[in-house]
Amino acid sequence: MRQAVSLAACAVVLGFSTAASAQQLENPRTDYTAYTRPRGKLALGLLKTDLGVIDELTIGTYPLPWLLIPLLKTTVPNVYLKVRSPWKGPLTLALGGSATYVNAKALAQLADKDADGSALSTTAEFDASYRFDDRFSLSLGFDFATLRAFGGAKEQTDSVEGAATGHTYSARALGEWRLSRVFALSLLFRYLIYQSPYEVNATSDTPAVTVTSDLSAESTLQKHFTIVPGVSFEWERWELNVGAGYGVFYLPVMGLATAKAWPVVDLAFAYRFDLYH
Amino acid sequence: MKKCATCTFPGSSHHRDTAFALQLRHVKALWFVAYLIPLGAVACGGTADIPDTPNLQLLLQSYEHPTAVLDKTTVNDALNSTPNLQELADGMEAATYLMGDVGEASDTASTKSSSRVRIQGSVKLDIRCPGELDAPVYGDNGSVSLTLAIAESAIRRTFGGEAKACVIKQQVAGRMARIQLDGELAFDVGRDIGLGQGWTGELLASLPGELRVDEYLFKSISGRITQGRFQNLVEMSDGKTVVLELGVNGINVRDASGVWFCAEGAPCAKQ
Repeated sequence: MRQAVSLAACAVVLGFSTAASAQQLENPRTDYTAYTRPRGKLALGLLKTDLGVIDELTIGTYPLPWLLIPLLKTTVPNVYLKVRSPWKGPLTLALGGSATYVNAKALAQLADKDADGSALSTTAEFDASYRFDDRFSLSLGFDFATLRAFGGAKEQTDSVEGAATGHTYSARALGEWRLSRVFALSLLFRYLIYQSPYEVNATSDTPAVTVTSDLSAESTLQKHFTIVPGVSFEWERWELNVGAGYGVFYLPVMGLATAKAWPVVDLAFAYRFDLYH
Repeated sequence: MKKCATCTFPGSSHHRDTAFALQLRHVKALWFVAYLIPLGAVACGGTADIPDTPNLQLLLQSYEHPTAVLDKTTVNDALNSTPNLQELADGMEAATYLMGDVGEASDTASTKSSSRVRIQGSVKLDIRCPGELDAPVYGDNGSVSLTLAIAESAIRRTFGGEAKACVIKQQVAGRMARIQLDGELAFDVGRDIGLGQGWTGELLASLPGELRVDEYLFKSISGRITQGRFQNLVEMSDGKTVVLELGVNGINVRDASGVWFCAEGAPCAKQ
């Protein structure tokens, strides 16, 4: 019985493999790759929504932070864009960037009701993707993320104000093996090259003393590796990428890394349609 | 419509041809913007500088190992070299007022930190002295500035700063006295203070400036509080040193050979 199941599984995989189609060419995966959304295609998802403005330019946003009104009493606006090389061929290069703004109201909800401040997170990425054939592609990427936060709190005669900054450099590799028009296997490997110490400049003031601090904090146990095997499904209208692995966890949207290693889940799904027609 | 077979640009090749030049111009501009994002952000973050701290090792060694060898005559000379030892002790005790703010700085820097986080940098305290009245009046009674060095998540044991006509009240012999500090200050609290921890009570202070306790003026002095007792380093006329220590019933004089006990109104005796 076990032999029969194994043979059937092999046959299915081989069948998928030989039937690998141009699906990835028409709707390539845009996460962790240099590929962009084709012109006019809108991929609508709760975690990520993007639009191919032109073939070489994708603009998008992470909707979830926009929808945090019940929790934060405000939205967290964010936007990202990716521009890829215009030439044809197996090698594609891309540059991308994103910006997320957390305003005072959101920070007050997250940190301290009396706090007043804001945070700006920006990310930048460089991607190179190489398509070996219709089935297999390899993408290499370099990510940069930075967070700057400014804040203050006032309580009667005492006050505190300050700013914090930090940034992260990381590299990644994503291999995707398309077994059928719908189904692909993927393996994501990320390496945290450098996570800067978080520098905090703060001033607290009471009638008796003013404390001005210029401090930096960094983890003594910084982990570096993340590995996430996953699967991708590309249907006519829907796309779903799911991965589960272990390692450094990168904060969604902001791209900053945790010091510890965690179980990591990578999830993206969207409904795709042509906006221009 | 001709499909592109080997690339990711689906759609009409005709459309691509006519729009390509315009798109490329947009693409170049966007690439430039995307390039600026990381450049603008690279300047932030980094490790905070740890400021230099005063070196009080020599002074500490002098307190630990006095060099003079006294006899029954010279022990009285040593004793008489600091005639107002109690007032000096009380004045130095007033300096411990500052340690409360050092402890507060330690608490502030430790907020939400854990043993897995290494903190370093500097904390500057600008302390407004309360004055000599019962109700503190901040702003009109001088100030003390101290710079603390934070390394490996601890305040370094030595730190320094400057006092500017800082007026504090302190109990002296059962009454409140006016203490005024002026000039440079340097302190050694015996060991690094872990963030969130308090001051242990050990203190070595070097005051190259002035310490005024009511009508008594002390210039360029040092003092040490260890195990709750006040010590003062005295330099004899020959350049050698002894340490005077205020005890419960008198004064201990420590020289290179041992300790003399000098009770009030009685001759000093070698212990």
